[in-house]
Amino acid sequence: MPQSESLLRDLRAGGAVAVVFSRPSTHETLQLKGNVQRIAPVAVDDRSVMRAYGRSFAEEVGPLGFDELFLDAIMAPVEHEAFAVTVIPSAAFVQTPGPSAGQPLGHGA
Amino acid sequence: MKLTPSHIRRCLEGAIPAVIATGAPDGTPNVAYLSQVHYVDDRHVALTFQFFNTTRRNILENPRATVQVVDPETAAHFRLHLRYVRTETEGPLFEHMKAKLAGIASHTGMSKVFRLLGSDIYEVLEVEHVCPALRWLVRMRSRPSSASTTPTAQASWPTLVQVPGAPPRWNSTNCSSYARISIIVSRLRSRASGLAIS
Repeated sequence: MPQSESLLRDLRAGGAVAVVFSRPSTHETLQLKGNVQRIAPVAVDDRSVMRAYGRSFAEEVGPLGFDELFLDAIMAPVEHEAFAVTVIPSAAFVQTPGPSAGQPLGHGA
Repeated sequence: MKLTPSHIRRCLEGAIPAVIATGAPDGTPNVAYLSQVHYVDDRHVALTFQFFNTTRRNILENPRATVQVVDPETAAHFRLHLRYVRTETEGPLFEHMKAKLAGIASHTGMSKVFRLLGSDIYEVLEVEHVCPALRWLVRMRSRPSSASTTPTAQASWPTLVQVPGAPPRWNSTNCSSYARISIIVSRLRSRASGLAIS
């Protein structure tokens, strides 16, 4: 089953979504919750952003000991079939390990 | 071949953080990183219980969870569909996980943060090999008409997104699903969320 088939099904059935981000070097972690606005195949411009993201990720975790082959595999080729999911965030939470974990992200940041 | 936890032992060594998705009774999803996914036997894994957080509240009210793990050698992704069984706060499993957590904390500079309150035992209902055939891109927008800022891709572990299934299914037997997504994260200027979005 394609990686995102069940996700696509659920997104179309519901629309509520939670996404978590973490920066390996600092453990800074953030969770967003929101609702899906649109699902569509990625545009050409999106591909360039995906590549930039992949490069940035490789620069981030390369020093941790992951080689280029692994990083290519884990990020997967950006030329593959892909969809863009536009999400409107409704809430954001700090999830960096520590006393503030779970707290809503500060106002006016 | 039906996959079991014994087939993915390498994914449970802690080299790459795992992520857990849970759902509140009303269907609100929650995703969080995990310190450990510990192999118990071919039908069970144990997760660390360190904080009274949303994940904790959710599994006590709605015991289904999905965990995604990554093979540190091949980058293969697997989803574990789980059902929470019980929490152990003493005994060999607890002590083993406590020692392992202390090691992880020391290694990652989290000694003052990580403290094991319990070992949560989960029954493994299914191990699913995730085929990396599709990729996702998530655009975050503060509102539908907002103009995009210049994308500044920021590195994070391959990010996971969780959504609940249709509500009637979600509350009974279905768990969330994951997909690895490629994130466009642009530096946000002054949104209330203070979040980088594009």
